[in-house]
Amino acid sequence: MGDSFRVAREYSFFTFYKPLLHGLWQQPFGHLWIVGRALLTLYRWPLAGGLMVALLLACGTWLVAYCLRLRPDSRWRPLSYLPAVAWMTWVAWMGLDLYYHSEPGCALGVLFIGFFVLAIDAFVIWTFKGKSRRLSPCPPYEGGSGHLSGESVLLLFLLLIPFALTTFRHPYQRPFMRMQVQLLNEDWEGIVETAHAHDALSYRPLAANYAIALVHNGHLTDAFFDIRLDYDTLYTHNYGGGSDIGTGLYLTDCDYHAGLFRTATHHAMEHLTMHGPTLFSLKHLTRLALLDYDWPLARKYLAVLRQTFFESDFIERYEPMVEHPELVEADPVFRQLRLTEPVADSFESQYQEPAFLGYSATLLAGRSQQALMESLMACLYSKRMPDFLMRCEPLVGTVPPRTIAEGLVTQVVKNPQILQAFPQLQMNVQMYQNFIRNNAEAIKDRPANARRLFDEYKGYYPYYYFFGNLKATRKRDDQEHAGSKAGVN
Amino acid sequence: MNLNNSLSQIHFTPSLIGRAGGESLFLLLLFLVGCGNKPQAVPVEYSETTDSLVIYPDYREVVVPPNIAPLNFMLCDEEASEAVVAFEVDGADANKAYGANKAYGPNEPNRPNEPNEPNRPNRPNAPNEPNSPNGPNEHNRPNAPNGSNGPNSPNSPNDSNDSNESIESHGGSCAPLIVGAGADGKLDIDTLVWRQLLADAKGRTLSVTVYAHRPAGWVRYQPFSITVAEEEIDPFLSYRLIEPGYELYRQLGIYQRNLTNFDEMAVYENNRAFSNEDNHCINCHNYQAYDTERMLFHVRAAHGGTVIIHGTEAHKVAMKHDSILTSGVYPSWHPTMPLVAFSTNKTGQVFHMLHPEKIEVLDEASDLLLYDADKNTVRHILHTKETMETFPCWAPDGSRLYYCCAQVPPSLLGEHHPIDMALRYDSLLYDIYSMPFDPATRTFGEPRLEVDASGMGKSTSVPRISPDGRYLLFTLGDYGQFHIWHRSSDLWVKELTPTAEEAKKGEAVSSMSPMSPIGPMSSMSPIGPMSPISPISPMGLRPLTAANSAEWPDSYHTWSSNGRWIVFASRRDDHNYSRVFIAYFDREGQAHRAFMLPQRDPQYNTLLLKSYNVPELTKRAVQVSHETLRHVIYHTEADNARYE
Repeated sequence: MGDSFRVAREYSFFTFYKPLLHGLWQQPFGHLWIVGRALLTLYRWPLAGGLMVALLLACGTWLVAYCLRLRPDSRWRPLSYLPAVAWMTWVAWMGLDLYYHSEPGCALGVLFIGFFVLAIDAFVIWTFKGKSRRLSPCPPYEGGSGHLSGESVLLLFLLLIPFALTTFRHPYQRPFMRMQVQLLNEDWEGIVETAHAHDALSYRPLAANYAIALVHNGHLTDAFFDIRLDYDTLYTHNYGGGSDIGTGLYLTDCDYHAGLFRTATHHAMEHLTMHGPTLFSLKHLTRLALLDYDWPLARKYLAVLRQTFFESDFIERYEPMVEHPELVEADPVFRQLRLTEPVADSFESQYQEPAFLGYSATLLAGRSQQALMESLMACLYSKRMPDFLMRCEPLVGTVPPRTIAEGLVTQVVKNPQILQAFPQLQMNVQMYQNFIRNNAEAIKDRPANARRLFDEYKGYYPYYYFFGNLKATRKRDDQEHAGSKAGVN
Repeated sequence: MNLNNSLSQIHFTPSLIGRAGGESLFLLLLFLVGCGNKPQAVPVEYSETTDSLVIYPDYREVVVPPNIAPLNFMLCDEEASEAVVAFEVDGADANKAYGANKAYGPNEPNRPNEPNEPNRPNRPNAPNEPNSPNGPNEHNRPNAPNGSNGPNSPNSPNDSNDSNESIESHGGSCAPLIVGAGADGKLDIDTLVWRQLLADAKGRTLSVTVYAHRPAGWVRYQPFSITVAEEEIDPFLSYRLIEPGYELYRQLGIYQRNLTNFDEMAVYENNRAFSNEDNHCINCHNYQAYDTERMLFHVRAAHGGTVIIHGTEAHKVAMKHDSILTSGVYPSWHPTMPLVAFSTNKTGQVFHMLHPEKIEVLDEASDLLLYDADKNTVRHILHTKETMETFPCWAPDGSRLYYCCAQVPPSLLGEHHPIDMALRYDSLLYDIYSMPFDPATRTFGEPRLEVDASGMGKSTSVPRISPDGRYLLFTLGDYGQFHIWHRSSDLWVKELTPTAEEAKKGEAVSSMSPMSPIGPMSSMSPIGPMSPISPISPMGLRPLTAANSAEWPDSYHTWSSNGRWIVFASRRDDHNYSRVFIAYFDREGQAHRAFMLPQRDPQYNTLLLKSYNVPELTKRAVQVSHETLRHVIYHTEADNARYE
């Protein structure tokens, strides 16, 4: 829950400068959401935020007991736990909807108002009936040990409900939240570790963060297909409450880390439009303005960020870059992203639907080897083999990276001349033929065998080519038959 | 800020209390309690600094209307812990000092509207208006920091005749208004004091001297001047506030700002909470002849239609017909008749991946419509495939209709993919034409080429005619018509002095082919960079160089009703969020340096994450209530306009 609220904080914004929250003030319950956002700011340090929530829940539980006269020896005493457990269950039920296309201050706002009402209620009771009620925060335990044990067991059972919800209904929740926090900290190795620890889970947001981390740690071409890429359903909702595949969870990040700064700006602005200012959009827009050398704009976003709390680290890192392009280019992350920036203008609509490496599937010209590799991996991911082969031309005569080599051998049967261009692929061909021979039956029914073969062949591109991302492959095939140019998402 | 240190360097007038009596004593107490440690007198000991003065907004060397709200600004001096600013009217009466606090002090709440705020809306401001951080009624603010600068103010240096030794003299001929600022460098000038100052400065110049308190002591910047024009600006300005968020919209509204103070009210705000059933966009507000008796705006998506307003009444109409491309888009009310010229545009939007411009908004097709608001009928004015017409604008007397027009590239006349048009985005060039209008028959004459921008390799948008009919103001850019996203766009004017032939005939008749881009002007060479004095080109066109920004978009301009002020939107401030700028347009037809619409909190525009869209001036406040508009939009069906 700590990571979830830590991430929710990034999708929130709180300030005492009222005009910046003008839209939120006008929402139904807007005042309450603002209080929730204020509390959320403390999750800059999840431990501090967790302590605050624990305190509110513990005090709330005691207040319930006090208001309902649930004495420690009362058989109804466990009732006092219900509001706190109900709140935790509700938060767990929401999953990513805690902040995605919804009000991030809602959960803590509700917790606050519940506590506030209880506190008022308790105060009134204490004022008028104080003498007849004990006001000890830790009432002495008067029952037998069996009673305590029963109550504890019941409490543990109740707490299992939110835990079970998170585990079974939202299995992606914990790893994705962990990855998001690691993304905030630019902990690329941490993201990769988290992805590998949950490699049997297959959700787009996890895959997106994994791809981003590989771009930065330089293992894109040898570790990209180490996780399942079949994409189970996310329980996320759009603004209107309808189901949503959660693209907005990672699209801006993907565009940004793919060097597609204008597209990232586009999506960050749309996030700003739909949600009002959030730390997420403001930080992205600040970085993007710096990358564009647009100093007044960067200064503006930094000024807005200065209106909120606990963001001095971000401001101290990026503010010195204003008016100093050499500092922008010296930043290790920016330097990496520059490598894949487009070199020629075109319209966004001329690019493919976003793969999780951004739009680079149709990158025709790149400024670097890194851009070429990302382009090739995007082609392999989207199984656009003609495009892939065309882009491999600069690699002729070299030893291609492992995954690129594995991609090439899948096309050897159709294009035998590949072996002339890449004679060192003989070993890969042999391995590929073994793979085909051993799985000839499985290939006839790919959906049924995909999951079974994953553990054996994870990381091996021919496995992905035949068994991975089947839903998207079918969708792409259907679209191509329909004459559409849309790509795999 | 070190209070002792500050006070030790500021010499108060010795005879202040004795001269002013009990009232001054009261104000002195108010000052001490309310103003804390902000100094309200210029320091005596200071050094001159050669550092260039940086203030936000930049009001240096501008011309302002005599009825404009206080030009609060923020001193950007990182070393300064406080600041003092002296506003001095050149040639003012030395015995006159500024400050209305004697009459309207902080302890006098509920002051009635000022007499020079005509037609102020009866509605109170919404408590959460974004522009009113200090509450809806500025005069109820307690302890305004500059509230003690009245004639009997304890620290007003000019209250004393024998203060020559202690108080800095500004030219020796005036009584400066002294305003203090804290460590944030922000001024907050009282509106009434400011108004009094401007009344005295009308037609003259204000000299503004800024003192900053740095660790080494006070420094004085080189003074700058603000010229106060004789001519007022229309008191109300409407605009839409929306994120420059490309395709999506969420919370947006049309607002009306009283330019004489800081009051802002919502004319209409769309649904605040997201709802698939209620989400709607609003745009294109437009008024008839600077008045709010007749106005309109569009509602898109849910509850869609065009809201036509007549006084306090409103109704919704739909202009959809098989023959019409879309509904009405860019409107222009006829100045006297119940007619509205609309463009109808089939518009698309594309996003650059690398180009210096971020967005292209393109028309695939566009025509002109004439809507009769009384009869609820609509008909085409121009309906062609070969040309695209947009941005209609009536001449002030209603005798002509101006509009922009581009030739559709021949390759795009047939069936084509929308991306084909997008790929030709920089080859669409719009000229300005006009057509005579006969009010008796409601018919239009032959089009006449007014600005041959395509002949210059340029493109125009948003033609607006000055109220006296002398000038055609428009935006000139490198291509296209959505110039608010184009860095190349600048404001230009063409003098519309009738030709000898026109004067003789009394009616303009063009000899050139109406729609041909090839005309007498097209052979002329493109105009090069213009000097600040805006030389007139052989075509009679010139840029408003002094008002334009060097490299950022300026567009969506409008004239004041007296023709002396131009209000427009510009992205010059932060390159992304358009802000309202006001420029003086003198009798010789020269525009002066533009200044940003003043706000109570000078930092407001720095932090605001919305753009100001389509500023429109009116002489009085909008009369229709938000509730009426909400009812019409949410609970009434749009009447279908009959197509003729």
